[in-house]
Parts: sequence; C-alpha cells; structure tokens
Amino acid sequence: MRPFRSLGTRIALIVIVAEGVVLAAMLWLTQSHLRNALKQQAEIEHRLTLDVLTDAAYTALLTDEYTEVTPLFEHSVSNHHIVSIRLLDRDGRIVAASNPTMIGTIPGKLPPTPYPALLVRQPVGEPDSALGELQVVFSQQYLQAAYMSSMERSLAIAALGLAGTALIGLTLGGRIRHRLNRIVQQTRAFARGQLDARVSSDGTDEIAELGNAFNQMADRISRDIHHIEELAYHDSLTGITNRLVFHERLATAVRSARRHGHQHVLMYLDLDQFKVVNDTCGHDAGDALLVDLSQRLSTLIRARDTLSRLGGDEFGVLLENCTLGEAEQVAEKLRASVADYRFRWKDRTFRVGVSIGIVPVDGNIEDEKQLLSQADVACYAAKKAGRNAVRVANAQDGEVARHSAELAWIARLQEALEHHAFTLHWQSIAATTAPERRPFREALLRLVGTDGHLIPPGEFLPPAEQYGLMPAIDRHVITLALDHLRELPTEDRPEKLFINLSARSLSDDGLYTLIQESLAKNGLAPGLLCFEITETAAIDNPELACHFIERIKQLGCSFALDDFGTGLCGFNYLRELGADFLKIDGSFVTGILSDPLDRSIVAAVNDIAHQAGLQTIAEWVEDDATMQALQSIGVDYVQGYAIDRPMPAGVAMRTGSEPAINQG
Amino acid sequence: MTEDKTSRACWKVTLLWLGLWSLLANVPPATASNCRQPEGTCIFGVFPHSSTRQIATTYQTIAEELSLVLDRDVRLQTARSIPEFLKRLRQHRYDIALAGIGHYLMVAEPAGYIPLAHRENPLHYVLVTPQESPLRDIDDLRGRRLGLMPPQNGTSIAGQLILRDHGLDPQKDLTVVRLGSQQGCIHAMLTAQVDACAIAEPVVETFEAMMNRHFRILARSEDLPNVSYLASPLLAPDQIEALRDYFSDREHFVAARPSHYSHFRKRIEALGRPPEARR
Repeated sequence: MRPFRSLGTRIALIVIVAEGVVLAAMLWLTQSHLRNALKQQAEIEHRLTLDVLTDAAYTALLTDEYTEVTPLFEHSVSNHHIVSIRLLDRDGRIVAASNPTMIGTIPGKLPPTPYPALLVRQPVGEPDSALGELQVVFSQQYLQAAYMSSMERSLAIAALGLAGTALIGLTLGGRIRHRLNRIVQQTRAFARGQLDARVSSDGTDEIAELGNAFNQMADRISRDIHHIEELAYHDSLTGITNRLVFHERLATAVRSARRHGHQHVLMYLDLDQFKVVNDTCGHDAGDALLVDLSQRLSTLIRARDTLSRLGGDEFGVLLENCTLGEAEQVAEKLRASVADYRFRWKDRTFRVGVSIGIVPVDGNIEDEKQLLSQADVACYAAKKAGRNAVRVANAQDGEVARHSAELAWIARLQEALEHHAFTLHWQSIAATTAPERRPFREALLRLVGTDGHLIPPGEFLPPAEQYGLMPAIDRHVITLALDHLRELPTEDRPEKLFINLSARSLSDDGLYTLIQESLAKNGLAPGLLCFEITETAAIDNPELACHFIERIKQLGCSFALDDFGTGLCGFNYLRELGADFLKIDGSFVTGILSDPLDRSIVAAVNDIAHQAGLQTIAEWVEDDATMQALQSIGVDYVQGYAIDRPMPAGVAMRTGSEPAINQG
Repeated sequence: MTEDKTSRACWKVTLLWLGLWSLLANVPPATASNCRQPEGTCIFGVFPHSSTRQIATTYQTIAEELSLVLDRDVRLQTARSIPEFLKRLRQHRYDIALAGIGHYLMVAEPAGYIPLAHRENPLHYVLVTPQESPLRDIDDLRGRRLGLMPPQNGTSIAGQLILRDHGLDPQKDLTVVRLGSQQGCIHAMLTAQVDACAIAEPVVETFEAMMNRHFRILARSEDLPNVSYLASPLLAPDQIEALRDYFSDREHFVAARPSHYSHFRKRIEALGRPPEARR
C-alpha cells in the first residue's frame, strides 16, 4: 500500500500539518507580541532615559555648564544600552558627549557599530526655540538577543511539540489502520464467499461500531443468502430440490457420462390419480399429498442421489453412478412404496400410483433436454401401459415413437410462436344470391417450415390441441388477422373475416380482453370479425360456449358454428348458442350431387338453420355443379376451390380477388 | 659691529614681543560673547534665583523680544550658582544681565556693566526664625547661628545691614553659616542647623504655605533696590540705548540711574570686606 493512501498516515499527516500550522501561528503571534513588547519596553526605557538626559542637557545648555552632564552621559553609556550620547548646542557644535574627544567638534556621521543601533535625536527645550539637540545612539543588540533567545526557545518547544504530535499521530493512525485493515480483510473474505467471516469486537468507538455494523450486515446477508438459496434451489412446497437444481445436476451427469464414461440413470415420475385428489378435496389436499410423497420418496434413495419436483405432480430422480439394473430396482421400490401409500384427508382415504420412465445417462446422450424428453416418453408409455408401472425408454416402441414425435411438435410449435413462423391465408366465402357483394373471407392458419414450405394445419393442430397450445395459437392468429385488416384500405377490407377458435380458448378469460383491446388499438369495427368454433367444441361445454358467444356478440362481433353435422349436435343448441352463421360440414357438401342423402341432409340443415335465424355457409364447394345445387337448395354462402383457393393474406389484399360465382 | 647686530636683533625681538602682546591685549576674553560682531549672538544672563526651567519659562520670552530689539540672536543663559554667575559677569560673558543689588554693586558695576532699568518697587528682607523658636527679638540672635546666602547676594547683604542697623556685628556677635539658596536657609533653620536666616520678605508666605510652618520675623530691612537689567560695556552705545528703552517700557520697571544705587553703594562699602563663610 502506498504510504499516502493509508488512512493512518493521512490522519498522522493531517494532525502534524494542523499542529504545525497552529504552532507556526502561535510562534508568529508570540514572537510578534514579544517583538512589540520589547520595542515598547525599549521605547519606554529610551523615553525615560531621554527625559533624564534632556533635563540635564537643558540645564547644561541654559547654564552653559557641561561639567556635570558629561559624567551623566558617561554613566548612561555604561549602564543603559546606550552606545553614545552627544549634546549639540544651537549652533550645532558638540558641547558635551559621552566621548569627551568629540566635544567642540562638528558632528559627522556616527561610527558604524557591529550590531543594530538606533539614533534618536531629541530637541532640548521648546521645539520652536530649542536650546540644542541631544543625540543618543541606543543599542538594539540586547533587543535582538532577547528576541533571538525567545525565538530559539519557542522553536525548540515547537519542534518538541511537533515531534510528540507526530509520534502520537502515527501511533493513533497505526492503531486505526490496523483495526480498519481487520475489517477490510473480513469484508473481502465475506465478498469471496466466506459467509462466516466476522470482525472481533473490541472497544466501543466508531471503528468498533463499524465492525459491529459489518457483523450485523454479514449476519443479515448470510441469512438472506441462505433463504435465497432455499428459494432458488428448493421447491417451496415440498422442500426438496427444484427443477433448476435438477437440470444443473443432470447437465453435470451428462458431461460426466460423455467425458468419463460414467453411468447414471434418470427417472421421470408422474403421479397417477393425483388429479382426483386435487379435484375432490382441493389444492390443500393435493399439496399435502405432494409433501407426504416427497418425504417418502426421499427416504428410498441414496444421499448422493437427487430427488426434485419438476412440475405439479411430476418428479425427477437422478441416480448417479448407477447401472440400469440397479435403477430398475430402485424404481420398482419407489413405485411399490407409492402404491402402498394411503393418503387420508379428513374422513376420506385415497390411493395413488406413480408411472416411472427410466433413461440411462451414457455417452450417447446429446444433452439433458433429450434425456428429459426420453424419460417423459417412457413415463407416458408407462401410463399407456396401465399406469402405476415402470418403463425403460426404448426407441423401438411405436407408442413411444409417436409420443416422441408429438413432443417434438410441441417444441417446434413453441418455437414457431416465439419466432413468428405462422402465417395466414385467406379464402373467400361468397354469397350465392348476391355475388356482387363484397365477399366474406376466412383466415386459415399455415406454418412455414424451416425449408420454406407451408405445413398444413392437419399436421400441427392435433399435437397443439393435445398439449394445450391452442389458446396461444388462437391469440397469435387474432393478432395477425387484425394486423392485416388494419393495413388494408377500408374499401378493400372483407365484409367479415372469419377466425377459427379452439375449444380451449372458450375458457381463456384473457381472450375477450385481447379481442377488445386489439380492435380498439387497430381502429377496427367489431362487426368485421366473425369467430368460428366447431360444433364439437360447442357441445363439449355448452354453458361455457354460450357465455363466450354472448360476450363476443355483445362486443359487436359475429359468431359461426363450424363443421356442423359432424359433432352430433342437437338442433336445439342452434337457438341456445345464438350463432349467426352455420357452416355445413364439407363431407356432406361434396356428396350432394351423387348422394341423395347428403343432399337431403344439407337441405334439412339449411332449412332448420334458416328457421333458427342463422345464415348458412357450405364448405368444400369444389365445382360449379355443386355450387348450383347449393344455390338451388338455398344455401346463403359457399366456400371452396370452386370460388377460390386460399392464398396469402397479403396477396389476397393486393388482388382483391372476387369469388367466381356462376349465376347461370 | 657684532654688538650692533646683537643690539638690533634685541630691539627686533622686543618690538615683535610688544606687537604680539598688543595684539593679545586687544583680543576679547575667550569666553566673551560676540555680540558686537554683526550677526553675532548676544547672551542674556539671568542670576540663578530659581530653577533653570523656571528661569527659562520666565525669561525666554524676554530673550526673544530682545532679539527683535537688537535684530540679532539673543540667547538666554543662567548659571548653576551665584559665584559662577558673578564669575561670568566679571568675564563679560553676559551682554545683557539681570542681577540683584548685591551682584550689581559688588561685581557688575566694578566690571563696567551699565544699569539699564530696575524694578520700581523696593525689596525688603527679613530675619526669620521658626514660630516655636525661643528667639523673640533680634538681640536674641547674639551667640546664635544665622544662615546667610553667599556674600555678594542681596539677601546676604540685606541680612548684614539689618544686623548692623540693630547694633550687631555679624563677625563677632553671632555665627554666620553660608548657605546656597533661600530654600537651603529655610531647610537649615527647620532642621536646627541654624537658629535664624535672612530671606526676601515676599517669599516668607510662600515658604510658610509650602512647608506648613509659621515663621516669626525678628527684623525687617529698610527698602532695598530691586533687581536690575544691566548692559555690558562692550555693547555699542546704540544697542545700550535700545535696551534701556525696551526695559524702561516694561511694566513695573523704570530706567536706572547710578544715583539710584548711591545710598546702598555707601552702605555696602561700609560693610567692608564680605564676611567669610564659616562653612
């Protein structure tokens, strides 16, 4: 440490400099006072001496007798710090002097003295009629000697004071620095992660207070860090490690397996019948069950193994340095333990099971994501096999492969949502009776593959439906569709744009708000939109569907019932649901020319819909003959390749293509 | 031939000696003033009847006025003692002088000083003794000690005249003790060194007040001429006349004539040689 960066040195220096300044000021003041006092004393002495000498000189000059004054001058020179005295008469002649040889001469310059001297000229008698002048040379040597003597003593005292102050300052500074260094060392140790670093308390001064404050702060931070670690690495409900820890340890295990060939095993556990407990007794019961099982499972594995809660009722177990055979034994033990467990809640007793998927962690594993996916698939296979079972991951298993493909789709869809890989195509819905009207259009979702090719919805919607991604996709579609509408001039906009919603979106509380805010944000009339839900989605939860349709219609949007005829929907729902349009399923439409039954069904549905106040739309109209047949039945709108093919929204907007309705 | 030469040489030496002697004889005294010289400084001497500071205070103004009268520098001077003052009178060191009657008649007049003016009121001297003294009369002084100032002093002369007037011989009937000043006389009397003393009458009350004592007057002198301004005989006549005019015009002073001093000149001559001091 450089000397001047040290606090102790700085304190010592400041004290010394301050002391030096004070001493210098005091010295200067003292010496000034002394100089003035000596000067005043000398002036008084000079004045007294001059008074005596002048009086004698006066008499001498007035009487012209100098025999008495000369001895006085000689005596004065020998006793009163006087170098010489001479008395001049009115003519300027020396009439008396301390040195008799000067008498009678004209005074010249005073002889030089080896020491400071002061010549005082004193008129004798009244100033305007002086009898002569007294010239006295006073020695200043004794004044200077007294001054220098005092200065030497003062400087010696000041030097001693400074030395003492320096000693005290350095000692005190050193003590302060030493104590502060201890605090600094402990602080640095604490910063390095040594959370038990503390400062020993000594004394009650400010530095001790600083040390105590550091200790208090360190205690608090240690507690907080411990708490944060608990929160970060442990599940708040069960107290076992959480997903984050599990992933880290799994990653470490994967690296260990790939680099060193170590053998580990991953187990994925999913409780069976947990939903029953949760639904019948509430979340508190479900939480209690999870806590009990966590404690139970943790007793069945080794201390070095990791049991983590990965999700709601999903657990992961990482068995380090374990063979697959040993792992299967552990898994069986876990399964049996859970199967034997009875959960009691109030006066009810529940039995639960666990499906366990096992994956060996060896050098062939790419990463922990792949491992988890395989374990999940194995667990799924165990569930498919009748639940409460153990299944080792096997790529040859068809069910496992299919499930694995679905899981891959989930990841791909999530990525598509994240990177905006979805796009919309528009297809016209033309009025059969007034083809000149602006057509309706339906927004059809497409996924752009990594190679640029469009992926039809039939491939990605089933896994999206199964794994709960549809609400997010529906939201994405609404946002895209409204963006397209906003960019269109008013005259180019379709009269209505049909947007499909999944059954799960009906329970999406935030969807209504999204639609409302998006319309307002884009400055679009709600009447522009018509939402479609399938007949199947509607009858799955008619109350939910009615409520959602009611709110949407209150907003000003229209509603259509899609794929009608395939879901065995009762006709009475047509009135209750309050839909505006009914889309007749294309499977009936395509056969109306060849199958009289299909034609009768279409005609009946059309007729009933009209009776219920709905307008009808026939799908899959692929030729003019079908279109003419539908016209003759009285269907209101037609949609299909006979009208136009779906095309990208941007292209449809630019072409403003009109549907091809043959009126003939 | 040789004798002739020797004789001529002796004559030459004699003449040279006479010439030098005549030159030396005409040189004024070394201490005399150069008042006669143009632009020369005149000395105005005042007899030391008081302290030098008081004399300076009193007479400095006169000295300055005299400078105007004579159109030259006039310097005031006094002396430490009466004898010194009288010595300087004899040496003509004072061009103008203020002197008592005794100084004038016994020293200045023989030295040629010319009286210019004198104070018009006469002066009385008395012989005093302390109030508690057993002396009741001047005859009681017989065999006693009498304090007198120096012989040429007016007080001393007046004291002797009083004794003579009362039939006492200062040299036989009593013991004269010489003292330097009137204050010294009073001090010696109060400390019993003398039984009585002679002082000027005007200062009796002053001394009584100053010393918180009362004195008994044993005898009083006749009227004596007061102090006089004198001019050195070395001064030019016109200067003397100018000075006489100046002093005569001063309040309480009148022009002095030799006849004014005749009576006392005779009485002083009758006193003979001044009595010698016994101490």
